[in-house]
Amino acid sequence: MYGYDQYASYGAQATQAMANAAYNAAAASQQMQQAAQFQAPNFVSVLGDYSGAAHYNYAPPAATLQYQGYQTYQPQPFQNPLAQAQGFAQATGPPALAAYANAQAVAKFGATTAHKPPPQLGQPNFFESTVNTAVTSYLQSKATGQTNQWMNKKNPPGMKPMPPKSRFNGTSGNTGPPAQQFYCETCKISCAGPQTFKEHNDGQKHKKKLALASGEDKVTLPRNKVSFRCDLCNVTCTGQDSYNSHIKGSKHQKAVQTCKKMGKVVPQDQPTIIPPSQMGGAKAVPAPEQATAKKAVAASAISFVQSGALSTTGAAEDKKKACEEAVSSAGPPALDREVQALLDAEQSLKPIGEEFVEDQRDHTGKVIQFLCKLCDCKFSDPNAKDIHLKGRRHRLQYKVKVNPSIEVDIKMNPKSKNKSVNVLPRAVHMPYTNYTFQPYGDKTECTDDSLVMTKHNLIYPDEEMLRFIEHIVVNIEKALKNVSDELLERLATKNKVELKDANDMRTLKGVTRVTALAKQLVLKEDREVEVVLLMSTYPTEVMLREVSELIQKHCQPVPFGGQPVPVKTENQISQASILVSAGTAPLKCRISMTSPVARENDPANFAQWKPGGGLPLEKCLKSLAKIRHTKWFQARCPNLQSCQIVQRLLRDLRIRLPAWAILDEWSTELLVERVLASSEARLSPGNALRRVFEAISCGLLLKNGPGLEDPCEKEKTCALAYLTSQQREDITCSAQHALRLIVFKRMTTVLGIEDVVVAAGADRKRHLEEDQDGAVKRERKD
Amino acid sequence: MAISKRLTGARDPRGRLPDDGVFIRLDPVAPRQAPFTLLRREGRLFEVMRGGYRGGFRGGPPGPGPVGPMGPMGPPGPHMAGPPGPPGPGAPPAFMPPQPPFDLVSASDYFHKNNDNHEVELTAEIVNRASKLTPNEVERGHLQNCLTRTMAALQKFRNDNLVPDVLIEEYMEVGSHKKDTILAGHKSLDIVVVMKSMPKIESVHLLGQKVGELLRAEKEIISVQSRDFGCLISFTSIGVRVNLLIATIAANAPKLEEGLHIPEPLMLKHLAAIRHIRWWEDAAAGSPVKDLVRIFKDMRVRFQGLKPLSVWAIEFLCHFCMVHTANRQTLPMGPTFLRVLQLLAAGVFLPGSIGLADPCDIPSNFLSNITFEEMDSLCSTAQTLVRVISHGGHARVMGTSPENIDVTVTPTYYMVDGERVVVTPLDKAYDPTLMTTQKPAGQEAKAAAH
Repeated sequence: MYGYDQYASYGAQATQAMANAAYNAAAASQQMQQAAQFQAPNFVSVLGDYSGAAHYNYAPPAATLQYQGYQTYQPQPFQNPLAQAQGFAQATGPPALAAYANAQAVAKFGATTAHKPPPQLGQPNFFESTVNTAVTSYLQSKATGQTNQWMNKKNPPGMKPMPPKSRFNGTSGNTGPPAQQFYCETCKISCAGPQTFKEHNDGQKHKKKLALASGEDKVTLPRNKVSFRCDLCNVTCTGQDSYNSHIKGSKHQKAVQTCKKMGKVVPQDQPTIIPPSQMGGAKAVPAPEQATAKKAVAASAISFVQSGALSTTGAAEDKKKACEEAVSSAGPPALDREVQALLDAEQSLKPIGEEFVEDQRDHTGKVIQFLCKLCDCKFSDPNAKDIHLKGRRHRLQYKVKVNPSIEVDIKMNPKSKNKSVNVLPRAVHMPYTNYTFQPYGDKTECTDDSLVMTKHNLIYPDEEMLRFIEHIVVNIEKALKNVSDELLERLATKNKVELKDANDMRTLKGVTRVTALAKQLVLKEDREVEVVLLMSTYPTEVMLREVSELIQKHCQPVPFGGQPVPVKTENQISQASILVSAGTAPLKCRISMTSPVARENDPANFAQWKPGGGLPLEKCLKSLAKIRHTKWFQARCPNLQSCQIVQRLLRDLRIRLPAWAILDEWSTELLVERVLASSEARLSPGNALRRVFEAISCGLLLKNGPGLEDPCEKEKTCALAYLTSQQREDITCSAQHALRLIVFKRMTTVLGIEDVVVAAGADRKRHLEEDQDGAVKRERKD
Repeated sequence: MAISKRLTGARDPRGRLPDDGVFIRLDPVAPRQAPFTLLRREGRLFEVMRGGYRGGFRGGPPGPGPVGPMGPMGPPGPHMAGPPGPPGPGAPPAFMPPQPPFDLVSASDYFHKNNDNHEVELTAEIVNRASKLTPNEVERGHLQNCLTRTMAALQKFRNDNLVPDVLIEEYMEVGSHKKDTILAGHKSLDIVVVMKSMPKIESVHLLGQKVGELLRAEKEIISVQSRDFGCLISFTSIGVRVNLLIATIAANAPKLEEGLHIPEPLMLKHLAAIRHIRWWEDAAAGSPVKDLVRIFKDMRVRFQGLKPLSVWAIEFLCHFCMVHTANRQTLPMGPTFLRVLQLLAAGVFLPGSIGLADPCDIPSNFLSNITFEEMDSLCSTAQTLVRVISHGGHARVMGTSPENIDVTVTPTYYMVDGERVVVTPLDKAYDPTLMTTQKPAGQEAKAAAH
């Protein structure tokens, strides 16, 4: 209620402030430079002016106060343009705090992708493919040149001429083997007589093959697999096994016999290997897919067969012959290697799930057929068994039913297939309805969104509290700056160094707001806000006491209850922090001390590098983690629709419900962000809250769920690892019930605002009645 | 006061219809249809099957864009460039259409799996259980035998036109046997007979008797009974029941009379069964989905809360969960099984949810035949099952454990990594007093049917 009118002015103000403060990193680092060089003695504040603290100036994002010593954390002072460019490049990711070594983990969320080397497309590939094409087309023309000659002279393509006229004396049988006379070159079939030969030539099968041979019709090749081709029979197989079984098959044997009879050279039983169309397609020559694939006949593990029988013709290629000869000596480098790799993959593809194939025997014990229990299919050929076990369908079934971890290549969509065949696509349909339903329930009843907003307004801190927070935090920040200066001065006099040269020796490096304060998640019920004090050396007990005393000396009184109240400090050694309070004010500010040193050194040897009286390492590491979490949060959450609201509501939930209290702040924030970011649409507050409950309901937190990967840690860790199974169970249970409560119009129960809403409802009803009365009165007047 | 103002309105005017205040969608959607008649359903059949729905996976519609100029309560929204906006709600969208429920598989980009979670074991368990639920060869043989005989009789009936004024347009087998999702021990066949003549109760009776006679002529021992859906033919010797489900052609729809003809709602159901069969043949025939469907059909018998889930909903949901993944790879059995339960637990069939689009009935999202109470118990059952499975209680869910405990009724204990975990069933959330006003359209129909 209060907050929003403030926001408008805040918005304008914030924009201006941010413009001044140069929120983005490059500008920030520039300012740092300027600050360090020209305003060296002055205290530099990212936010600039605090004088107008009467405004609502709550929790400016990334409110890191930088001391002049900040630049020592920069990689290099910028000396020449090149170095400057480098410096900027390094400073791009996270905003103001990028320079701290410990903030490196955060850096990956920033826009650092610019550092990626550009993808390697370009010269090498282009060159290789050109060479390849040249070589293969040379081979092709060499092969087809002969064929062409032979064919063009004698017959129309694909067909032997009619047999020479037989002698009239009737000894026609002696003129030559009849098989050769009525032999169809295209189909590798010999016919018994002219009649059948003619019929064959008119037949569909022949025409199809003819079309295939002349390149009009394209065979679909697997896109990412090597094909094996039997040139004799003009058969393309998708695997070594199916090729082998083709070679063993009767059709092939017949073709071989016929060829032998005709005295033609029979190619060896070794396949021509055709690289996948994907690779063929990647070539520079804009040739049709099939043609390219055919031409790219390459070496294989089995043999290097130059496809003599490939019959693609190309008149222009003859001309190129000369230059291609020259190129051919270079050899096809890359394609071969790729094909080789694919071949190896093909070879290494082991048959799987053999135990699921049963052989069925007849009563004599002879195997009559095999039955694959996984795929529910039968086959009689033992060869087919191997092929089946390596086949895609079988592998897919194996994956679905037995072992989910095996890889099955994805079937390409039917678009890449022959377009002339009109295959009706399977009825793919939208999984979710795209029509809305009549909202059930009373129309005047408040929706979930407004209930959520009501609750949100109830837990949101009031203006007075926000102003107090701002005052105390700003005063502490200023005080810390003075403390830092004083400590530096002492150090300089002690070491007899000029003050302006002593900047590197500064112990207190900076202060940054963390947790709810920086994330703008402070609630009405909060009693503590936190800032982290970064030091150049590992913080010790002595330092803590010293700083604590100096703060009391330097910190200006904070206005509370209408008059300025001096601050008091309380040292909490075990917490590695100083608690600052102002009079009787309920809200206190915690200053946690830490140093990047804590994370740089090995925690296992803490005893070795720990200075005397060092503060607990665990607390120091935690403070550093808080800085990282804050950076991450500021980069991700404010831009996500409804995210902040849901975060605040969940903070409230954690305070109210015991089952939820166990979730720590960071994992909750991470969870909410992930869940909302995974939504495709921008969500209203009510929907966003429902989605969070949905996600937990379906077992996100449970042991068999995916877990939450912590983005702010070097190692891959799960942010939920600290939860026990029973705790996970309890939270899930609670969320599941809450989800159904929301659905069944009991959002108030979930939010814990039944009484408030009942009152508001009565209030509204009264207003409505009044309005109606007014309307009635007006009518009467008329 | 400001609060109550926020509650009562001052929303973007685009979000509401001025006259009745019903929310409408901002993006154009199909106009709301009047309840379907037989005629229109039939007219839509092929459109539905062949390209009525394309376009694959569809998430929720994009949210409305930034809402106009800032109102008095609108601080700069998150679309503003530069620093993150101040605390506050941002500009709330004018009206959010229902969103698809959270789905771990679609959101896998955001939640990287860090372990395999015993998927292999779960898959193996499911496959085992499914094979136990599958009828054996003998049983299948019986069913097939009865089917061929009945079909032959029907063909004879139609071709020879044995009863002059009872004409059959077409007949086809539907149901679980056809889809190969039948459970072991469930010896029942369904055949839909679409009649060209009016589906009078007497003529249906006559049809049944005649088919019975034809079957008896082949020395089968059978009994024929008239039922409200048509006829029931029992092959008493082998205990197989064949249901002749009567439907009629669209042209007869206007002439239907209550009491004289087979009830229209039943006939619509039978026609829907034909559509389901066609869809199944097209989309799911031969895929391992059928095993999963068996598992869920079996669970539906054992867990009271899953009862309201219709067989068709199970079939579609299972298929959806297996096929619709981010990379279009079929999901293995174990994860699919979990995903079905997760979707149910996340409330895909809860009121106000966007639901799943029924591919065979355009304006339906499976919700119309379930009451609120059933929705609640369905969801809470699935939620409990999700938790039970996560603690390793697969056997109890699948029904393979020796002790017969209904985990959705009694609390159960599990040992997880040496830690004792108790899983308690969930409370009801549905309160009839809060949901009394204006039920969805399907609710009254359901009530009337009861």
